[in-house]
Amino acid sequence: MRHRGIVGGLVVALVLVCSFAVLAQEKFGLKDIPEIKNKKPINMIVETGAAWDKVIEYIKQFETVTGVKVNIERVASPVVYSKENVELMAGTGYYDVVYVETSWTCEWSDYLFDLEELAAKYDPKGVEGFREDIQNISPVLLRCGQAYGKQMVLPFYTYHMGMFLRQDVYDDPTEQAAFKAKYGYDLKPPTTYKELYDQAEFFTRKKGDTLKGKTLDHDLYGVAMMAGAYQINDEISCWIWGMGGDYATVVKNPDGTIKEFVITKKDKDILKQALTQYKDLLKFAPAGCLTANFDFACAQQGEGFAIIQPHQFASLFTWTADLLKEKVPDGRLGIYPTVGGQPYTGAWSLGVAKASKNPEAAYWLVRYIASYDCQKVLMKEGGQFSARMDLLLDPEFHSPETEYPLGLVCSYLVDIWKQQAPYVDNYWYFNTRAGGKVYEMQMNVLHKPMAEEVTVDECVEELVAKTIELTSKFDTVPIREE
Amino acid sequence: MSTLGKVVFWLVTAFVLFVIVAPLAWIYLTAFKSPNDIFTTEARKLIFFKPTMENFNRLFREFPFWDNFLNTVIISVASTVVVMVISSLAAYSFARWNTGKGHLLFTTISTRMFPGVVAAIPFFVMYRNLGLLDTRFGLALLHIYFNTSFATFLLYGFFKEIPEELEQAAMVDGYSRVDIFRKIVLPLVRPGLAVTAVFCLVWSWNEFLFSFLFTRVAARPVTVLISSFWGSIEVQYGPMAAGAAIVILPTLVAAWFMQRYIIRGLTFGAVKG
Amino acid sequence: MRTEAFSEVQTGYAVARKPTIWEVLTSEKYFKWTLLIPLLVVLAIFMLYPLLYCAYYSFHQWGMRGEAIYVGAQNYRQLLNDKAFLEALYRTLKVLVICVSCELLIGLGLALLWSREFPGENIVRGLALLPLLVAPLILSLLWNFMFEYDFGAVNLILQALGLNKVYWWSPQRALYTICFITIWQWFPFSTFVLVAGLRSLPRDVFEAAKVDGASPWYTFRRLTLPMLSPLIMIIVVLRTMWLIRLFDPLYGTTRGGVQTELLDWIVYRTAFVYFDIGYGSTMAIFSLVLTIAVCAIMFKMLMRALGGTR
Repeated sequence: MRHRGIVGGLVVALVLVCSFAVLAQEKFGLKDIPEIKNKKPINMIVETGAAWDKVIEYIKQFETVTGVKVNIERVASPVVYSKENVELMAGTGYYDVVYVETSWTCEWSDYLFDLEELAAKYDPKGVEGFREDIQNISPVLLRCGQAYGKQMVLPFYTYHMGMFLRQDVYDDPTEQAAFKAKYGYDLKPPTTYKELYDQAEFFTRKKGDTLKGKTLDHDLYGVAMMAGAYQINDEISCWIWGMGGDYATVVKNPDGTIKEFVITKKDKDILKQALTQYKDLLKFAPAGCLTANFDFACAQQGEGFAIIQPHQFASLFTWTADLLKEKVPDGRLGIYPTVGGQPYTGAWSLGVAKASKNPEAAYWLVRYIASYDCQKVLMKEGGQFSARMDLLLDPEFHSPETEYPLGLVCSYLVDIWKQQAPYVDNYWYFNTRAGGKVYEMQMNVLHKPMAEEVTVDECVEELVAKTIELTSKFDTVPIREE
Repeated sequence: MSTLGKVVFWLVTAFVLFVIVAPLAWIYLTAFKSPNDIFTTEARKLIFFKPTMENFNRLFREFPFWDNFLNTVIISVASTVVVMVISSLAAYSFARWNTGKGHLLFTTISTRMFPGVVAAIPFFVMYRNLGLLDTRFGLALLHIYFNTSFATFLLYGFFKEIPEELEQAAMVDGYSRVDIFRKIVLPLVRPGLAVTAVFCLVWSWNEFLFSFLFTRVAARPVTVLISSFWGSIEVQYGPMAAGAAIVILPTLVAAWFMQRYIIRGLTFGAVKG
Repeated sequence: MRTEAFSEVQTGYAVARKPTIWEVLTSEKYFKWTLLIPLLVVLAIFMLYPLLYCAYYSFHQWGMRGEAIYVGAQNYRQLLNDKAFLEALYRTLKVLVICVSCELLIGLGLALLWSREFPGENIVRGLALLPLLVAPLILSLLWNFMFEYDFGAVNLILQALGLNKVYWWSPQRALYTICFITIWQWFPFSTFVLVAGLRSLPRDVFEAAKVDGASPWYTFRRLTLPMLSPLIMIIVVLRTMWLIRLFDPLYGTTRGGVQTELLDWIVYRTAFVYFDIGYGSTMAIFSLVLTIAVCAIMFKMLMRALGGTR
């Protein structure tokens, strides 16, 4: 008996010591980069904005430590795809580090290295060391950055979507009572379309009406949406995924390879329903939404003109919350899963081009930017959200000062990733080579019914036809309509 | 002019000037505003706000503004000089002898009838093969292509103003064709040359599509830099306006000096009695 | 300074010496072609090459990856049935007509107003050139902001004046807003050309008409306008050519949304975003033919007018 007690105690002690050892193991950082033999300068293209403003300063440290110069070309966000595409298609081999939205990963997979291949070649810790570091990154976003099972890119920041709403309004007893009286159920963040519609209707008021007991000196809108020809497709994705559909259904062989894409009748019906619902909801949105990009939609909520953003990039939560604090002192935002629980997901990520003249340095730069230290800078100073779980769960972001707004979003992201993980593998965007092209096409086609240029049925017809056309042209997997 | 006429005249002129100048004044005001003053719904913030130099500081400190500016200057001036040479020679030929019976002139003009975005692709491939991507020389060549048609057409009009008798008299005096062109005709069309040169300079200065596609970092002109302030969260209107405010100035100066020539020069001779 | 390859007969006998290259090039016969050499070189490289490239690919299907598949005239047939393309074409022609007529009317009106000398004319004319000098792309981003419903300067001023805010980017109105931006930038062009034209009209004809007791309207209709017609034609040709290619205002504002997709925008999307080189080339060739057809007629009229009044 005593022996078992001692052995038991020793085992526990051993386990504890090992756990501490593992936990105390230092995270990959600048100091872990071995000497890079290839000193050729590397080129990368990134978007403008606060996130990169801050991180670029840290890249300078990379340059000093490794002795490799990094040339950075900064362009406007909407044109990153065109610029990179031209260079890649024309085979100039100019960009060493490639900046990729995860829906383009499959499309560019021919041009990018499998990162594990580079790890095997250049990392003293080999593939094991690589895998150990990236296990801290959200599996959902890692999957989005894979093409045919290979890790092509590592996330820089995520734009996973969520529903932003005015938490202070939802917690207000006057509003809660009025809502219950009118609609017959409690006022809570909506989980179905009907609830969202009711709440949007409820909160659309004219100047002179009241909100939280105070008179409004401006018109109030239930929702703010990005219905312009910029990002509307991301919002529609939230709806169709949430309803169990997709732009095309991915049919796999028993061994896991992709057999074909089928645009099923169910897919088409769900798309029609989503577009009709979206259009209906627009009547509770401010007029400018038809040409809106995310900055406009967030500004509407931040200025206090709109109560709910049914779908918005979580990375914008901090900006909107800051704006709200200034314009509406007692306003507070909350973030919840979008209706259907499957928001649009992805991350701006970094990969290494096969045509690079210095893949060694490029690989280390990508690892460095995805590392704990750089990502922390991104979150603390750049105002964006990292894909690293260890960072999102870091107590530093969950203290009383940082819980709102940062900690809130961190918790939301970790939760939604857990919830959405089973579905991501089957999203069509991340399984096709035509992902980027179709994405760009959708920006234009999905906007048209909102601007009354075509009917919802015509839009669905055009979308299906163009999706099939582009996929046939740019992918080898057969696609058909049911 | 009657008093009523004068009042109407000045009212209309003032209104037109307001419509022209107000949006541009907005650029200069915004260049000195902080982000909160830009995204505001208070009308008075349009004019009354606390000015800041932060936009300019950011622009100079974090971006290669002056390098890009130098690129713009070099590319615009160099391409304009070359365009002027090519176009004046050609325009003289068309004006004096109607070479090609008008078809060749029309073909020259039609170079601008082809969508630039599509022409960019074969050029991109050609430039890749020749190693001209991201070079000032390469971009200047494209600007030359871009401006030649307009310059030739405009100069054609100016050359047509010169009476043939003048040249015939000079030939009797024993001048060669080359000398007639150099010593007699060219000095007479100097206002026209100035006008055309300014327009070519301004358009090369402000050109975006080819500049964006064919440069990356080294040869990037300043228009691409300014338009890149379309960032990942919001359009950074502050630094964009600051950049635009500076970039407009040289063109303003050039146009100011030339506007006297422009009035005299745009006659085309078509309506002389 | 004679540059003849043969010396004078006066010496009694002709001494024929071989003409140098320079003398041949500058001789009466060839000089006019010599002058064109640089231009022809530019045209050959920069115009022929893309034209042939696109003509070739318009008969193929190619996405810049892999092989180009020959498809005959299929792209052209598809184009003529492409609803989105035809809509864009229709809108472009609409914008063309609106902008050219407005620019011409405003230009003529202002030219008549400003053709006389008046105090401060240099300043006024200098400022009036401004819209032409600013990069079109910057202007489109700025106008997008200024026409913003809630934060835009235009609506803020309207509100300050007690008027209602206008939704400038509504699907019904957006195309006209684009027209406004274009007209705003380009009316100085027609204004200046016409001011110059009015300035150089011969005084004596107008004096005579006044003496004869002609009304201002009569003078304008029968004398001023006809004499200005070549200039008006030049403005129309140039502006038509540029307006069919209208692109910049869309870039920073609607990006082809809210029913404002114009010809060059759909070409941009096809060639540059989808990299569908085959179909994009087809669109480009079609636009070229269309523009040539529209401009050629006006160009012929212009040449006749210019030839006639000399």
